[in-house]
Amino acid sequence: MMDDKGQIAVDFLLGISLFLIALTFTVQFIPGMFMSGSAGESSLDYTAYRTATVLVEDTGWWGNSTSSGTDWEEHPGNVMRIGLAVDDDLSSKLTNSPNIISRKKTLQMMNVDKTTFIEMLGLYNNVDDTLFAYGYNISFTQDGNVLMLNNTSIIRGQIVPEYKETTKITRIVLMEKGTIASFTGDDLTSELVNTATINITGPFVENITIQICDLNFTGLSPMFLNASLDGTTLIQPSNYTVCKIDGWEKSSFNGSLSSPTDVLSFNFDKELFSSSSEYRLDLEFRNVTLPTPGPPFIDYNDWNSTHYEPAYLVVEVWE
Amino acid sequence: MNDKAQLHTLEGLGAAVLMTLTILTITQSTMIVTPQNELAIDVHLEQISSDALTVLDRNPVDSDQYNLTECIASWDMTEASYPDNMTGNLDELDAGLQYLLPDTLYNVDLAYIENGDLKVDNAIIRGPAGKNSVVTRHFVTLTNETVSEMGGSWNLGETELRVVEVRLTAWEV
Amino acid sequence: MGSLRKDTKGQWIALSGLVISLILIGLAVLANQAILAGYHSSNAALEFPKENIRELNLHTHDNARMIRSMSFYINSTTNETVPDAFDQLFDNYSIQMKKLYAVHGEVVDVSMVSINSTTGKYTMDDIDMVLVNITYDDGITHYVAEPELIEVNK
Repeated sequence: MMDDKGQIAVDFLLGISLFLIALTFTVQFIPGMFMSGSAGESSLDYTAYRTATVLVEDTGWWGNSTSSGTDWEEHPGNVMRIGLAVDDDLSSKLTNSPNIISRKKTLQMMNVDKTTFIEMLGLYNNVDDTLFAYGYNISFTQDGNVLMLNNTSIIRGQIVPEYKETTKITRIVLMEKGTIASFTGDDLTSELVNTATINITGPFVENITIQICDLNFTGLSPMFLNASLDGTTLIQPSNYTVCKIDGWEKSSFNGSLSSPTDVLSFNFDKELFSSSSEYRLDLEFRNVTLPTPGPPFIDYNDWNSTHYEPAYLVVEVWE
Repeated sequence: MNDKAQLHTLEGLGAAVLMTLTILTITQSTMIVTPQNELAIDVHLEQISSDALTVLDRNPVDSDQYNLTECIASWDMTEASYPDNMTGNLDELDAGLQYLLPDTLYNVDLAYIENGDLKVDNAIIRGPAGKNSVVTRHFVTLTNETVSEMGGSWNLGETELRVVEVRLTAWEV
Repeated sequence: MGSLRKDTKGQWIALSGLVISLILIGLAVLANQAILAGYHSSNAALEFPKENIRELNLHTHDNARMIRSMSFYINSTTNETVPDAFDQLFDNYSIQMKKLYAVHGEVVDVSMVSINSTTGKYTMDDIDMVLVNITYDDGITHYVAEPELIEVNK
């Protein structure tokens, strides 16, 4: 009297157990599969946020058995923390300049080897004491393009994958970018009519910026004509670029000056001043008076200060 | 030999493949791995609007753009009204914020203590604050010197300090 | 009805239903945990008043410098001494900060400890450092810097 109804199929039981064992195994041993579910603090959002915060707000730190300081860019072998904020007090651990990014530190960041970089910024997930590096892409951008410093594009990491969920954090920073000198029309010295002459002594590590405002107009349709260095006329845009600045906005400049309050910004290629000698820069205008006679001419190197420009730090992280 | 209740091997294999594929699709798809929650978006917005104020505040005094203290010092104390006078006369501050925070709308309130009482003035109104708006704040200290340099109407005494809280309410559009 | 009860062929379908629902529950729990993890980490970032504390600190630094030059100005126009003028201005600053933070339910206290003058004459190049106590409390986070050294001659 064998009743074979209502049995649990042994094969089915076997099958489903196998499946469940396999599933448990997979969940346990494939990292990142359900990681965000089980590892609390190591969520991607948090990693991106933390990385951006450390880079923007920390000055970094280096140390060996005898000394330490925040100028880790000078001691790449003993770096303990990577941070990009500028610092005027090298021995203090507190920075007073969050969001202001040091050019030297940024360039040094590009040289740090990959393993150290991932370790210092915590761009990994710790699963059962095994480290799995996240994919990351860290870059500085300005006006939608990747920022260039010393002919290097400031971007680290891999190409952002198209078909993966990534977490992105953007921070606004002030980037240290070469030097700038601002002159008013009355500051500028002139020997030839309508021509402002500025002495510039090279070399420079970054392109230099000269800003001119409050020019005195004498006639109708005053214009900027050209720039020449030691008698050679410079070419736009390979040698230099000019734009008009209105507060935070830059606008293109076609040469004609419309109002005395216009601020002109000249950006000269650093290669023009490659030797450590004095160069003579002539800026020729039309219908503009420059009341201060020269020589001696005004000197760029006496007037310049560090040039900060707003830029964005973009940190993108994925599994 | 009782061969009832057996699963057919091939079908079983098919079912296993189907299940594996389903699980793979689900885990590879974006939904489970990192759900972008609203809070993460808030954190981002709060951080970036705070950055905007810091960058404005830390901007070197000799740069072309006015820094936060200079912007606030130039205020003529006329409150903004919506929609006909949205920026009060804080055009410089408004231009800076618009440049640094694209795709974001914001209101700026100024809070300060005058004769022992708290006063809150609306300086820039870009609209009614949307849901999920975040508030960040920064402080500037005005003196008679900075105010008269910038031509504002804060009316401070020679030896008076006034701490002004710049409150930025930002939301994404 | 009776014939339905005797029909036991569909049992394995019922069983699969059970198994599938169990798997679904498991997946739902995992998905929920993921959302929860994101929530907690974002919430931690939102709750921690990093910017408020830093702003209090930085602004106090800026003010100490401003107050220093202002107290020299007061000293030159009235007969008040530099330390007295410094104290008064700093008190004034402290009261304003307290009130402005109180509006947001945060308790702050910035108070002067001492002015560092090596010669005791309080001249312009002599005052290089000011010691200030800074505390911040929003009910969850408590921050204390006692004392905070502020270099004012920069």
